[in-house]
Amino acid sequence: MTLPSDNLSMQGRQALEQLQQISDQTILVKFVAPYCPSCETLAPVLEQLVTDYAGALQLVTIDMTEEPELAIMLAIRSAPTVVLFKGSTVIETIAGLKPKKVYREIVQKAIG
Amino acid sequence: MTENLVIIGSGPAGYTAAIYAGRAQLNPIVFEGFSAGGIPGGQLMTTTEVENFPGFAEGVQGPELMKQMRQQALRWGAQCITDDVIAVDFSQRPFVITTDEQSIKTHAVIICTGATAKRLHLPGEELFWNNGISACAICDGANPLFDNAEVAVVGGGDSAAEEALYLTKYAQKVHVLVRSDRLRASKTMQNRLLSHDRIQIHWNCEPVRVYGDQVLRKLEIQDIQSKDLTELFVSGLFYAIGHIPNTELFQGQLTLDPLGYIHTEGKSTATNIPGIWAAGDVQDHHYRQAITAAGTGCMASIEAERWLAENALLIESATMNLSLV
Repeated sequence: MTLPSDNLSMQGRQALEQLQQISDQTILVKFVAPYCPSCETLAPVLEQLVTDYAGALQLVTIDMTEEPELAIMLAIRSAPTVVLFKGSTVIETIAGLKPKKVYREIVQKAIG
Repeated sequence: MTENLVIIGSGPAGYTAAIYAGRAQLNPIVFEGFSAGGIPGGQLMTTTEVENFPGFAEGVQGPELMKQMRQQALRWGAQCITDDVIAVDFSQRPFVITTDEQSIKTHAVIICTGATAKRLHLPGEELFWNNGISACAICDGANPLFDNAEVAVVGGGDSAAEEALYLTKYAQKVHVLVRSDRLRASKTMQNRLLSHDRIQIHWNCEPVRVYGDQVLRKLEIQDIQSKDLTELFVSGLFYAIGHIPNTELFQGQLTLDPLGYIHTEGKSTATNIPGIWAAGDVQDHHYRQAITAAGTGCMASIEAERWLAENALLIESATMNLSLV
């Protein structure tokens, strides 16, 4: 059984900014759009990563239509786009749906 | 352990095959795919209204239809796995199907991998793929960067028309680039396209190069006849120029037709290898409908069940019988 996404993923820009204030946490941000089926396909993969790296990795989901400024600032053009942050610094950006192992690899590289 | 049946793919063909195989107690495994060959659920996942699938008098949303098919397959005991198949070995029996995570042995295989939207692979395209260039308006059209911008759609068929009309929700102007001097789209779609005041159709032309900096900025367009080049300033470029079959995995193992589709025998879904069937768009470039895909998925499943029984390979699932009481 996978947990409902609400338990593993925080929502919105505010949640991201709060996390970034706490410390240099590793944060996966998933930018989604309404009616984006690939975004749903990706959800359990990122949730599994957060479970595997419990405590060391945070997940925030942001609807790019609700946060156009942030989406433009990060040059996000495709849903889903995953941005890996260390604190406020962008470490990696993955646009579109990529093989599952790609997401694990960037997290492994960042956390070690 | 050897499985009865592995189904590769998760569009209408794959799930229909899974429903029939599940009801026949074959306990099918369905590899639904992840990021290869389009998204799980297939092309209907990026279609809005489906108006011609029988049984839905008021129409149905593509993703909703696929969700229902998947639920139905699960109800009949199909095991759905969201993974890409990365290799198949049809040279030995049982056959071997490999994903990133596992290898599975199976007596029978039904291939329903469908077809993927074509790209033009223009100079500069790689830089802007998923960054302004897309083959899915429904996925990427709502992006704030396209808000009130100008975008272009390439193609002249129904899907080009649907994408262009969808994009008018967000973009200020939609340019449709058509290679010939007419549209292939249905009359209804043509009328909607031609009468829309924010859609401009450019006839007899094609994009030849894309330019941008951080993001896509403009296209170079060539007139097919005069070869004249012009510039078109757009933030988005959407392809709707048809599909190529997802048969890369099977090259050299199965007989493909000259266009790369899997060859099936006569009025059946049998491939050149006994024990392997193909259904849906991966073997059909003529009808390409959800209902024909579902129909051939059903055929493949019935053919597979008979073949397994005739060859005394069938392992019926006792546990599944219990779970359905």
